[in-house]
Amino acid sequence: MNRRYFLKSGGIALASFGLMSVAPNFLQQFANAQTLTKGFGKKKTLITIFQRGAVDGLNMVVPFGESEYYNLRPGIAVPKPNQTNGAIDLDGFFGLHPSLKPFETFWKNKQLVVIHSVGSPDNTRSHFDAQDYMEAGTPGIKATRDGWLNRTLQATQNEKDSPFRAVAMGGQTPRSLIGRAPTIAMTNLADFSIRAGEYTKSVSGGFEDLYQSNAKDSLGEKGEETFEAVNFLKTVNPAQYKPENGAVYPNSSFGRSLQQIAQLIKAGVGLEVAFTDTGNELRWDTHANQGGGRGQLANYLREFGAAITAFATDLGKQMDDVVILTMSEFGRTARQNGSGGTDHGHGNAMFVLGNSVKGGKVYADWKGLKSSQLNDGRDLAVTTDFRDVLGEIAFKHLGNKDLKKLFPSYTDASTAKFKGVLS
Amino acid sequence: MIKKISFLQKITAFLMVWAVFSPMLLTAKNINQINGKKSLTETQKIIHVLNRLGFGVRSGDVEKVKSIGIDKYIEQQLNPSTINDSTADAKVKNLPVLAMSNEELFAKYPNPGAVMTAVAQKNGLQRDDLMGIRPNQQNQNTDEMKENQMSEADRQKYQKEIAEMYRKYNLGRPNQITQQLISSRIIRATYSERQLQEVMVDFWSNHFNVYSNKAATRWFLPEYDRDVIRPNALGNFKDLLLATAKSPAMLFYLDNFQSISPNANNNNQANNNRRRNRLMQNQQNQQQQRQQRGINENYAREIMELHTLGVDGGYTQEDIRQVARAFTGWTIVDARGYRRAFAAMANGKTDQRTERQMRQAGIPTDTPSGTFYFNERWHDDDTKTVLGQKINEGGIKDGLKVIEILVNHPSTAKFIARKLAVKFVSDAPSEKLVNRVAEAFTKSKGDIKTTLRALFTSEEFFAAENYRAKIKTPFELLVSSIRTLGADTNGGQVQSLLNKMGEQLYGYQAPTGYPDTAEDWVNTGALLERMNFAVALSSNQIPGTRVDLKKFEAKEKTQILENSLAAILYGEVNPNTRTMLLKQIEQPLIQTKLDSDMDEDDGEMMQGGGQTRQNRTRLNAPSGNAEVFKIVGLILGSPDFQRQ
Repeated sequence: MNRRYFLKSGGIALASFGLMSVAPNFLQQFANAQTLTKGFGKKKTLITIFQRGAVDGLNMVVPFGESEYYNLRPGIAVPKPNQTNGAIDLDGFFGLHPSLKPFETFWKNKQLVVIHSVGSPDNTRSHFDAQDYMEAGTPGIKATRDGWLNRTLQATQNEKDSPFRAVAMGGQTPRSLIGRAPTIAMTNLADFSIRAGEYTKSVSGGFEDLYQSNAKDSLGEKGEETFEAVNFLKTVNPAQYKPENGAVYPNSSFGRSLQQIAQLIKAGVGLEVAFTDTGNELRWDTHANQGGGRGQLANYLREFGAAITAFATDLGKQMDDVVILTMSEFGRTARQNGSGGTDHGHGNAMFVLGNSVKGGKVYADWKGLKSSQLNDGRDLAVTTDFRDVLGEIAFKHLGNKDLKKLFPSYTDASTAKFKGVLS
Repeated sequence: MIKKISFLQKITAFLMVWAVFSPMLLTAKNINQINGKKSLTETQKIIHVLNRLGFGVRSGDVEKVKSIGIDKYIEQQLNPSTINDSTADAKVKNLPVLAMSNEELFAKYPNPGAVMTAVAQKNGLQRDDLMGIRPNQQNQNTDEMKENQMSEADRQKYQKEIAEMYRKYNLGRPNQITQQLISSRIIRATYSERQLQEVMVDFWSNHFNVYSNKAATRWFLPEYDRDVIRPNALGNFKDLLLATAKSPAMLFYLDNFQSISPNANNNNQANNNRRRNRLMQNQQNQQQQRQQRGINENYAREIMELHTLGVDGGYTQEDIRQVARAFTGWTIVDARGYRRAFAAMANGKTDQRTERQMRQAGIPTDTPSGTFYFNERWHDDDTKTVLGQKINEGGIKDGLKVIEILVNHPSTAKFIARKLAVKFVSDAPSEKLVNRVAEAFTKSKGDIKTTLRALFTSEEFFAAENYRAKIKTPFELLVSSIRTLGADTNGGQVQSLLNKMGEQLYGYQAPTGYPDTAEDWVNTGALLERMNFAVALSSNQIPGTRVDLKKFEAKEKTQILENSLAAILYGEVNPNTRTMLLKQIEQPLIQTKLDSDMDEDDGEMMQGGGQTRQNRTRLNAPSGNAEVFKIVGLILGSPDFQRQ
């Protein structure tokens, strides 16, 4: 097995042998081009964002064209477009929450897709179970060992894979990424190193030599890879990062996570899948006083939209190869409750953002919000199985063609069910 | 195309397994050369036993086992009650949750919401009116408070009252329950003389995995460890299985507590008529949803797939359905008992709402919250057929019969035997070994001691190729490191390093539990954290865990290395590792001045469920003789010490 991931990159290899200055011009250009996409070939990257806590999809993407919406939510409905704090019109029927104003540009540029009335066929209203099912990709089945993202990595695994192929921002590997394919979980890029205070250099060098000298051992081999990754990340110098195109990340754990993911993509570490949730600051579980065009949920959505906008702005042209996918375990009740909030519901909305999406469209098989049209008479119905969205992205963007393996319990899985959100 | 990929995957998997074992073959060769025959030396056998039946070797352990004799030592370990364990017992004395009943835990470590409810009621308010106020000043949710339009004076008043509750009743936070329990697991694994007992506690806790962060599960964990796993860890598998089936931890985690026969005698209509206020209405709605769900098959599936028969154990979807029916009515009294328990303690009165719900469900109100209850009214009493056997015992006996059928099934013997063989012998045990162990399981009717004895007395157990063939799990690495250095730990902050290495106890979300083979544990990120743990331990960076490396010090640098190698790897070290360490010890230490915050570890935790976040862990700056801690850290973090 060839383990020299980072030295394989043309640019870095030349530079590391001190050949840059003497290399012919065309080679230098080639090397520079290589440094942009770096040594792993042009990688497609999927950014998965989980809104844990169940965001209220009906206020995030508002069906303002449905009069029943205003009947059900007298105190918390988002006003119609062109009213104070009103929704941002998307297609004459759906509108974005006004806090998601920055998304409007993406919408107009056809970089943004909304999928509505989407969710899990399992009717659980437990946060835990619903997240578990969604991340495992197997609604109703708990014993699935690995997560759907890990299975997608397994399906396209090869020996030249980067150690940074899959990164989760956070202290622990999320359910979506658990499984056989190697992944990295970290809170901070700077943490990805040996930490021995003043003696870091000596100790780190010691470990590096130790593992290199045991390269025939499988552990030694992994250790060597580890230090290649550590050293490579050091050259990227995460502390000195400057976002491009005037992007400003909000100072929240979600904002910091997305910024670090952007750093990894730009550094060309071979990132294919990144996962982050929206952090504990954004409390989507709005059982009380959630507000309408303004208020609690509006504040969280503003933060959510600002972070994603900063990320997409920062990456600019590189969004050609990046798709952002947002999800949440279930939606919330169509009716507001007695506390000016909403309770655990069913169908929800998802965003897909990127230069390769067929954007500027809301993909929804919309039933309506009349009592008879609601799930159990209380929640937005699920008319699109979330696995059809995940499957399409894995299939078209990440090249995972085996839907049956990706969603083991989904006997009806088929490309025919794709919504066509990607070209 | 699809076939091609899966073939490639198989090849890759084969290569990975081969790559893991090939160095073992090397070690085995060394053994051959040394002894001229294919067997371990007496000392190697002892080290093997101490590693596999325990959490590694402490100073003096090898000599001790030598004097007792290996066979006798194993027999002692199989009978833990004969071993005095006062040291470990004393060390866990100051962890109050270990001795508490579920009801006491509900009262003393209430859900913050229960405290808020009590304060709200005292002030004639609803709990939602206090939203955003947290007992601890830093965690205030200003967005929620703004929505409440509360005056600053009111906010301070309620904040103070909440804090006062915590003071007055000496309350703790719910996550302390799990933290204390994990501390006790680390302490016992480190100090207990009953090492095999601790290994089996780890094994069964993982086999019967529950996840602490699923809602109320954490309140049930101390009982789960104390009354379910420990008493049965080396007992009979049937007793163990039954104890887990009745445990609130498992009933909650796998939802059986809310599995109700569709024909159950329920009283939902009465519920509907009693909506009194908005709060109660919401909560009753939720309660009704739970009750209306009817039969829940989760536990039925997992008891067969993961606890007994194994995924290919020969059961069908119909069997799952039938088993689920047999377990209807196996439930928990007041599963979220913090509200009732706290009301009783703080207001000295019963919680009306909870007791009404209990009456509606047909559960006597004097049964304590958080205990097992068989609810006749929720049980499906019709005849069931499971794995071809008719069950018409009726009542709770239906479930008991299922357990008997499952324990006696040949697939269960095979499944448990293989899992134990993977745990104790190698990642790929032979069919011969698995059959031998399965036979012992069957003949002894699930006696765990007898089953393990068959494993430990097998040829394969002491085979040279299985010596140091297992990669330690992070928990094994952590404890064996502490033991080999003779370090002292309170099991507290060291948990965050265990989490970083990827094995938070009670932190695996899926019911499968953590995997137990090398390829699952060896990856770039996890390996780096193993090295960082080694350094943090040897340079005394972990608050609550102290190590004294004076015993390794020497005038000659090479002697430091020899002392360390002798203590940590009993002198048995890969020649490459030794050469490199010799080179390392000769190199001058580089010391770099740091920015002030560089030695601080950002151990922030975003947990799997995303609902809770542990406090940041701050590591101390490295201290001690740098020449020594560097070498010791390198050895603990070396490939050699990752194996057992």
